[in-house]
Amino acid sequence: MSDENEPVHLNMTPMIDVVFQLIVFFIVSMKFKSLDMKIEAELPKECGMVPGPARPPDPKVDVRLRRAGRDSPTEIRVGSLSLGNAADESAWIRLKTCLDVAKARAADSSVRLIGEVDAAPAVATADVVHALDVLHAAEFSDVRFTGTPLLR
Amino acid sequence: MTPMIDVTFQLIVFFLVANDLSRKEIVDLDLPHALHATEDTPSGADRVIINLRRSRLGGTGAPIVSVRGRDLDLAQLTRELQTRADAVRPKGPGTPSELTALLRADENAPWSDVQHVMQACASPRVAVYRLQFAATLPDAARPAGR
Repeated sequence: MSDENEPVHLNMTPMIDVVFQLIVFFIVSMKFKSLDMKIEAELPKECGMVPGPARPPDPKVDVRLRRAGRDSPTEIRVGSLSLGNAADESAWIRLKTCLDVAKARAADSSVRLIGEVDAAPAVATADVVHALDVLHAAEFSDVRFTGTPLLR
Repeated sequence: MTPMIDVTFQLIVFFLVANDLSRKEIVDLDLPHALHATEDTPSGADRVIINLRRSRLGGTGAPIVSVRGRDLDLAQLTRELQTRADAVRPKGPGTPSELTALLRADENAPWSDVQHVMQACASPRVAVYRLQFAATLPDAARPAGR
């Protein structure tokens, strides 16, 4: 009869075990996503008509990326000069060389050289970012994008 | 034991919420590789993260854009950008905003998808001209453990 009057004690140990297992599970499964790297760029500003004397256009290097179809590789050009396919790493090395030469010439004449990227709509984003990367490697601080506006 | 269990449950809730938040802004994508990109440091309200997944139909469909975990079409994206840009526009409507757009585009996304987003950024009402392209280091250049 004396057992009935004693208070009942809950055994909390299994519950705490389970809770700690849950914590460990969440800590282990949690993956904080973080960005690795970034490339800075600037979009052209629409300033409208500016009165005043005409200014000669800034010297620039045209990097053109073209792709005939979804299955064909991207072709890299500087102006009208074809440097090869984007799948071929040597084409990117040739692009870097062209940019270095243009940069060295511009340094001689102390003008600020602009890098202009003109990519066709079908080109993969990876190739355009690769071109930006090469322009940054060649220390082009002013990189712009050109192209025909797309219809929505 | 009660305080200990309270603390434990608080921990569980924290990890559940933190895990969910970390997934909202950043979508799992195959980012383009870049050797000379700079390391990204997270910034506050003056940056919008635009995730651009590879469009369906092998790149011929509409771009799949998501901001803060919400999928948006281009009209919705323009409205979202305008709201965020207006909050950090120092000189009133129509002038350039201080907002920076971080474009996280899948490496296989066609450039036309990025162009659509860039057009939305540069539209007169939005006037966001600072862009950042998210990238990763190529595997060969990645330090051990990253």
